[in-house]
Amino acid sequence: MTLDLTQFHDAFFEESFEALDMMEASLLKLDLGAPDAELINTIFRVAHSIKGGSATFGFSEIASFTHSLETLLDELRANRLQVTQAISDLLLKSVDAMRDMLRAVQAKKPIDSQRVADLQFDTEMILAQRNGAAAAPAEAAAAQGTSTSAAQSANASPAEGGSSTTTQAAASTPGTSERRWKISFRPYPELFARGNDPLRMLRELAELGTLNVEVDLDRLPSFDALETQNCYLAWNLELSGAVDEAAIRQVFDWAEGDCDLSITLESTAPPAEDITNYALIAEFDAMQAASGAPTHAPVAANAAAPAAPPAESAGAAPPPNALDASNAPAAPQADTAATAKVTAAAAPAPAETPARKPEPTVNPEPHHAPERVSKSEAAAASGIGDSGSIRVSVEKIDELMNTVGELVITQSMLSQLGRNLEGPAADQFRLGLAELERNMRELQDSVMRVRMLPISFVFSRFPRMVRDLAQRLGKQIELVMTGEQTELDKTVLEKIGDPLVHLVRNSIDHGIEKPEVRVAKGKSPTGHLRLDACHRGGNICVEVSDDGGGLDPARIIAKARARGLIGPNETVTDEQACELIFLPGFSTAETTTDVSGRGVGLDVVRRNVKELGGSIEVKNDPGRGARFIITLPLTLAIVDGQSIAVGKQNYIVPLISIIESLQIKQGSLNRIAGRGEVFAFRGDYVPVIRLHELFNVEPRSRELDEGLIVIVEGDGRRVGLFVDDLLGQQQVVIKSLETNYGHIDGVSGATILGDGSVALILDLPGIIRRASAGARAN
Amino acid sequence: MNAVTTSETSSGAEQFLTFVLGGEEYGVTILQVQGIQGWDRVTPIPNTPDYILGVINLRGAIVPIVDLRRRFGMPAAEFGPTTVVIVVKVVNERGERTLGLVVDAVSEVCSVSAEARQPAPDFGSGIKTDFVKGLATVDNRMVILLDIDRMVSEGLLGSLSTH
Repeated sequence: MTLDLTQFHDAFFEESFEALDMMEASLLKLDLGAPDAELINTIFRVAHSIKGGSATFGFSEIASFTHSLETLLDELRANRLQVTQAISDLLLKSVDAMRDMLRAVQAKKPIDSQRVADLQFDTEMILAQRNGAAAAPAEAAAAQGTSTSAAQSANASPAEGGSSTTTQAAASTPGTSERRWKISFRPYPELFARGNDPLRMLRELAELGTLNVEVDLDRLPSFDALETQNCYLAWNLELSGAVDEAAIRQVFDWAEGDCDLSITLESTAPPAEDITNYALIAEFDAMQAASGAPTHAPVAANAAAPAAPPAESAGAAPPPNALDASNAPAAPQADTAATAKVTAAAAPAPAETPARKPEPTVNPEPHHAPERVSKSEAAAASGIGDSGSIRVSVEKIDELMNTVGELVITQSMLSQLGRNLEGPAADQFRLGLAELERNMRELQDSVMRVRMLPISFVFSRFPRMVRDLAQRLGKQIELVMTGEQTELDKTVLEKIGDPLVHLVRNSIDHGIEKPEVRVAKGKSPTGHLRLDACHRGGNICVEVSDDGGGLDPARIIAKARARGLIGPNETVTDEQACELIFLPGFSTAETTTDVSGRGVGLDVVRRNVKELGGSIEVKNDPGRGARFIITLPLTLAIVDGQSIAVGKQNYIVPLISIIESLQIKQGSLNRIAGRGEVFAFRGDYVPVIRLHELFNVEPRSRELDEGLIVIVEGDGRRVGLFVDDLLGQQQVVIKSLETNYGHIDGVSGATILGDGSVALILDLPGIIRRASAGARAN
Repeated sequence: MNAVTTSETSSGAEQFLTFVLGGEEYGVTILQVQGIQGWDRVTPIPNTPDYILGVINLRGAIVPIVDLRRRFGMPAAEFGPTTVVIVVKVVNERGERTLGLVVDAVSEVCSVSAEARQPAPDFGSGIKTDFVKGLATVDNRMVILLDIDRMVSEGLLGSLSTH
């Protein structure tokens, strides 16, 4: 049977990238002095599942690299190695390397094997150094796990096992309520076939407390009746420790339905006698080996499959995840070759499936028997970061949005009909319609919310970036982020990333001073950078603030003068000076660095934010820091619009760009060169754009005092749009014109009105550009 | 042009939706037709060629409407009760587009075999036959087969959507 694994590739890549993000986040959270064991576990699990996956799919380079990494992580996990800056750096680099490797494989491009080899070498160097320092104990521990025969270790273990039990006992902190559980675990013969591994379960139990294992051999048939695929063993277990029943049940979660399980509370007595877990587990190994070995001779191939799972877990690396397990039968040939020679003495050896070949390493014994196998590994196998969510493509959501939009239109048509209805049933009908309208609105809101994602998707890249940049620039920076759960539309989210990166870079590069400068100024040597997000009204507010030097108005003004951005005699207030930094071609950094100052300035940030329908402002506190505040709409899919009428046509003007609407008085209008019309508005002269001329439609009136002037702002300029009338304000769903047609100057999109007709949404910067181009042409 | 016609003739019988435009009968491949609907008010788009009548709302999508009479330089006609919009889907290198074609009336769906088709004759420079895929004879009537894909990529919408 050949299974086409390529169909799973996408899922694997997606999960792996996600897992790497998680690993990176965990690495950054890792405290060098006192690393959190759970974090290291998380990191380990990621490496482990990527290794398993890539081995399954035959990405041997990734599998091999991850394996070295996993070995290193295992050392960290077991506390045999301290997390140092160097290791943390190496691990971060490895994350990058893994990401690149996965990308390369995904794009079917060659992997940068030199870089990988370098990193792998570094990893192994660290391992080698560690082993050199603590060779003796390590090897003793290793020997127990892998090399010696199961039977031997069963006999010879008192010494070794004894020592390992002591550590185990020390590790399991004695809880306040010690309890003793009696567990009877009687697997059905088919247990192995379901992918369950009793040894793993026993190990997990051993992790919970002191475990006393007794094997029940009653069901073991005579030798010739023995079927290697079946599980004949049963266990009577005694578990002492501060454990509750749920925790025990969880261990057997996967075997539910494949075994008879009874758990009874014996007493709350102190821990039982000191019987070595390992000796017993080793005994089990021997049993396994014995049950596997005899049939090898007649049907070696047959034996490979059942022997592999227990042998593997008995032998080397931590038990495989689901993907990994499928690997064993996938390589039956190789396995057979190995198991054919199996004697009881070599039983655990074939566990090292050829798929992951032993690394060329200085370390004499790279694979250590895992002291424990956390139950979360099983969880990791079933899917990373299972947070009760599902993946849905954006197209599907958009489709849903479209359908809901259609429903809204139909509903509003019905409402209009209902209003004119008369007769006995009309009132009831209208009641029903009102209900429908309410439900409709809720439905629309829910669908909109589906598109919303927390801003942490953007924020998550900053810890790493800040750390790297601070290191490179020799600065000490602490990043604080709040409001990461603030949700906003996916499209906005995608476009806000770059501006934020820019602002953060600016803060690190130009804002926060070097430690010595900070100390001289009487600040703490560590600079603080804050990223805050919150909802404010119908908008979302994102702030980037630092406690660095802030903006220097004098320098900004000088610079602006030098660049000719302001006249030599123009007086500028400090606040106006801060606005100057958003002008194109402005950068105050003394030297351009590779961090910022690559010609892309704050003007681009401002433009990007404006494109999203938002605004940016800066609050400056010279000498004590600067605060950039970005205000964004929650979504790009909906805009608050003002309907305007020109002749028979209706257009939508985004409310955010309207400053004021007014009726013009005769006499306040002036002409320039007989053609261009301007009128006085709060001390300024504002040009008039006649929309009917620009759009070539027949207006109701050509007299300016008979219509209305809507003063709008676009691209920093103010103009008065001459329209016939103002209609209602409403929220409109933006639809693209470009999907089926193309771009039209002065129109940013279209929307469908309540009666099903289409109205164009005006793009004011485009209109202003077009009008001024037209004026020049005249 | 030759390459196009030869590849078409080898593909055998094809179904066409035929419609009337100024007394002439035209056909479009049925596979491209998404639907037919009555003529309704459109929303004009400013500063577009006169044959782009505007856009309509087609099940939530904004779809441009093309007046084929004006597109082909025929005299404009009053829209009457038989005036319909044929909604077609066009696939080109820029993706999939939907547009509506306003025609005088639809007539029928007919099957045109490879033998019944012939390449468009060359009228010289006077008459443009760029959008004509070929001519077909159906029940002794001549049907002009349109190449809508080509019509869209060359000048109908192409020139507008490039900037």
